[in-house]
Amino acid sequence: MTAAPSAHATRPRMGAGPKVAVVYLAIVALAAIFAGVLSPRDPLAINPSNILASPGVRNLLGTDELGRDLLARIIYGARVSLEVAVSAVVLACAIGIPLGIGVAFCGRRVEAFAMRIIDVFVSLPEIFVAIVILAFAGGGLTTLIVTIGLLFFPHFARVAYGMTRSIRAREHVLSAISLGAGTTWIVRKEILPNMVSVIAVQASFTLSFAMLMEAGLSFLGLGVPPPTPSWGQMIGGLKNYIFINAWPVVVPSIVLFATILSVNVLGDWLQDSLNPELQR
Amino acid sequence: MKFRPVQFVASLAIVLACGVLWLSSAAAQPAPKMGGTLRYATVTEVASLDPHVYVGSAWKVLIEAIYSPLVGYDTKGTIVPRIAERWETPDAKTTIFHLRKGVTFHDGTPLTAEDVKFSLERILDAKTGATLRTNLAGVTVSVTGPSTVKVETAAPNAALLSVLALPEAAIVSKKWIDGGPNVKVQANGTGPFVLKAYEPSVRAMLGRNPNYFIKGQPYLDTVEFRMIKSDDARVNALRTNAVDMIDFVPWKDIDTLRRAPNIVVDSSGGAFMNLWFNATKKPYNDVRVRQAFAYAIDRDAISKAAFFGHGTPIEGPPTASDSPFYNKDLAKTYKYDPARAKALLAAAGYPNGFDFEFLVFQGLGIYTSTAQIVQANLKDVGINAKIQLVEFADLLDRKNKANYDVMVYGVSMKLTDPDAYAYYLGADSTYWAKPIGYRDDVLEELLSAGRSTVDLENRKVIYRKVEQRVMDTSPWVFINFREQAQAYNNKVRGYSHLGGALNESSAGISMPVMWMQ
Amino acid sequence: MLAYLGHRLVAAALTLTLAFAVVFAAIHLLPGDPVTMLLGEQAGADPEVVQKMRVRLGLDRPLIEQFASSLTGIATGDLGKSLRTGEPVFTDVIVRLPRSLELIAGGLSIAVLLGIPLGIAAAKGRGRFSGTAASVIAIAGFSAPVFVSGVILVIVFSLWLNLLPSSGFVEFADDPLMHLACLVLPATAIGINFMGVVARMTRASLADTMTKEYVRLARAKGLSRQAAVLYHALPNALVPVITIIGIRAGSLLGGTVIVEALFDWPGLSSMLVSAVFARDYPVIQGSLVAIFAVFVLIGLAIDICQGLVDPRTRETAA
Repeated sequence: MTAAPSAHATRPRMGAGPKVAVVYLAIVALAAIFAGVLSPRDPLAINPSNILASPGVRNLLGTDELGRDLLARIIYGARVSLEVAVSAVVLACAIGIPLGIGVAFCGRRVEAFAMRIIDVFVSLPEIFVAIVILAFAGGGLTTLIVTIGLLFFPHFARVAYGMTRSIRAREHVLSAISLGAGTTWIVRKEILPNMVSVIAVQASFTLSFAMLMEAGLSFLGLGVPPPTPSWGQMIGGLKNYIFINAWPVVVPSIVLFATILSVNVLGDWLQDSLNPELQR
Repeated sequence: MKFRPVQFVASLAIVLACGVLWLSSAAAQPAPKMGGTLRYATVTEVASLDPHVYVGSAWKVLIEAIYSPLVGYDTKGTIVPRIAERWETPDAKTTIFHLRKGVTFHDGTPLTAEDVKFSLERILDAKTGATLRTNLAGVTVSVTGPSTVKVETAAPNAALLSVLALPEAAIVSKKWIDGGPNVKVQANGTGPFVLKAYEPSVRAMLGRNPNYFIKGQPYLDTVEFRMIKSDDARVNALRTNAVDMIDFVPWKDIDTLRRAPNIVVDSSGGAFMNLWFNATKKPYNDVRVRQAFAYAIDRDAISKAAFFGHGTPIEGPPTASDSPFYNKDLAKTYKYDPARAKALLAAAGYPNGFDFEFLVFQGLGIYTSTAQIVQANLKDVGINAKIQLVEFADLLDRKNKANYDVMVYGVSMKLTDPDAYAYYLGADSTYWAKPIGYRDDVLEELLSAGRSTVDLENRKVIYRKVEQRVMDTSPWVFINFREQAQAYNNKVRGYSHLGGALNESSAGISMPVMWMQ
Repeated sequence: MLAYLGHRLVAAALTLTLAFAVVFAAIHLLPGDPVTMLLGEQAGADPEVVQKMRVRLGLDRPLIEQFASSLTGIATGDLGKSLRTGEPVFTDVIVRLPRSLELIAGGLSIAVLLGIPLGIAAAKGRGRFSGTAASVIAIAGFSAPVFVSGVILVIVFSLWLNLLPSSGFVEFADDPLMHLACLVLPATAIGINFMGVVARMTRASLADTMTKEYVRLARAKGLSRQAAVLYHALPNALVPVITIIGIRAGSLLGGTVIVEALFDWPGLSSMLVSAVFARDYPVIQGSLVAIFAVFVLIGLAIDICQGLVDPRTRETAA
């Protein structure tokens, strides 16, 4: 016995999953903003006599290889992860969306050429591009943001391009054009508003990719320079000491995982609720 | 015969004592066993076998096993004959080497004096890019007989023998090199082992040379080199008996490996960590600033945290305490004293410190750990270091272009002779001083005097002045010795772990007399 | 069909060339000099020696000339010689590429073996606990960065259970069992991550097909739900999944960088990374060319399959 399955099954307003995700992300964001107040100790204070300690009374989450308090570093690490990921996504949108829209309005030739260029970008596996750029430009927060932003703008460009073309081809838009509506008007009134939901979904997934990329690059030693803590960098550093004490590396690993998971869960929910007709 | 208890007991005691002595000596020095394979895992991925161009510590061991120089070191660190069986110095600028008879290269070609001349000239040729080119600058080689070679230096050089004893001074076959082989992947030497197989950066296989000029050596049949860059993988390979011996034991594993029941860890200081200043650039051209750095650093913290206790702080000159050139009274020159550092900075005109870019090699944890501790120490005296992580290529590039402020640099000791100071700090040395144009005339004079003096006691006096001068001017800040350790299972015998400049070659030096029990 | 194929090939070649040009420019603009690296600390600072070595390695020629000769070389299959070892890059690539492909194949297998059943469970159990649980596991899979799952795997299987080696590599020919043992953890790390993607694709695709007409027709004909899913819905659902797997598989090549670093697996990615650090230009170029080629070939294969399966795509390809 089954009811006829509906392709447009409406999801409950917000399940338990997304709720937990929102709460968790809010905590992370608060930690990032109010790190100075929330952190129990100085994340940079070195203590050579107490390195690689397990979670305990003195250091709630243990210490790293220089004796620095892990809880403090995780709180400050939230700052780096969020800052880099959000900035990179904003940059990617700022470059990609205008580009995508612009290309859609140009002639066929420009379209083909631009799509070819974007193909080239996409065909280069991301992490190699990042490694080469970072070797070129040196580490640092800005370089990292620019690199990741450059890596992900094609996603937005493509989406913007596709959406622009399909919206432009709609009946009422075509009639508006024939009545003399200008490009800017069309972009402002029809294209952008209709793109918002799709872009939002794309942005949420790109956010998690950006966080993953930052963590991965930091893991490889190409991220933010020490002593600034970054979750990926902490994992990369502490993994060398697993055989001495595995606990220190587990903590930032769980935190990073939970954050990305939350972003993905939220992204899923966003997609399901804003675009019920689009299936992934 | 009457039974005499006292005599009886005495004789019994003597017999027993002899028995015990004999047994224990036999146990203490088991006779070497011929044959067997040693599996040796190294951290350096050796990408080239050119015997004149240094590529890394494992490279040194390989070249030492495959090639022979004129002279070499024995397991106690003394210079002994290799291709040259004896030598004499008729005057301070000339050494005459008499070569062994009957030495052949692995391809069967007999060694001649021409080969020696050819090899040394290959080192001097700029095209080769040989590591010892500057050390041997001004040397002329002439063949004075079928097996005699005369080496003349432009000025008296007491360090010449220690340079010629390095594996980078290997003697190669002129005939073979003229045939144009790819020297980076092929080898043809006179050493105790023959290259059987080689995959660059991955592995090398050596087999016994049956015609080695020291009869009875080597004991081992085969040596298998596996290049395992990852520290954990290497240590694991030893633990799980996938290999018998590893080099470059990570500092965090030295103690844990020692505790393992069947593993031996030999460790001694072999390199030292420093801060290098761009000493011709403001503010590092002010001695007081450099000295302030030297007082500001907590070397104990670095030894404990970055090296897990295996990095003896250096508060004086970087000379090992068992060296004849060690000066005890200079050893505590720069004890940790942040107050004094601040005072010096104020005297130099920086009462509130300053900011600078701190260049750090990113590839090794000890560099980043050391750098972060130094950064924290400097912050306490008002100096803000901004760490810039770079790859090795970049680091070398910036060093050679004098494009840096301060960097952390690990120096592996180059020579057993104190003329190493000329390599480290000499104005003509491209290592550090020449790219930045640093020149200390007082030091130059002392260094050249030290090199050309032959008498040991006189040299000690001169090099004490050198060390005093180095302490006064503090062109580098010496931080600590890095213990370099090798670990092996208890079947491996005959290995002697040497410290200082010979640390890197220890395995190569011992290899002909190592065996598997 | 032939025209379609031809067109796709030309497009691929064009993309490859452009990409190569970008790569060539980028790496030659990198600071740091391979010659200095080769010669080491001392000789590397001596300008005379450096210049002689540059000539020997052909690095003193104008960049355009170097680019042209590299390009023609690639077209003829000559990837140049490594600056460090002097050996042909082509041989190195041939040795290392299969090792990376092994990781990807292993990871893909695990991803498919775990992901498809997970996706089916998620689709079938939609709205129920089993479905949600399966979905959560899928999302968790691709939320864990590959190095995080890798580290956790090492802690569990190497440190605590002492079942598998934490890193390393032996040739299959030398010791097949050990080779496979070394392969398990890195392949699993890649697999877990990709499993999430596969599971989600499967769920979405299956949920979509299950509503299609022909499935309802099958049910109407009397087939049980199980059979309907298995024989009618699933095969059609899997087509887009396979497409996506193919497209994403190329990006797995990027993932192997981290895994090879973490597990000390001497594949193409680690050769590339060490070449970047040593500024060994021919090796960097050669490895990247190999990676692009694999990537583009996979894309080409997917396109061809799609062209074969769905005639509509052939016609719309401008």
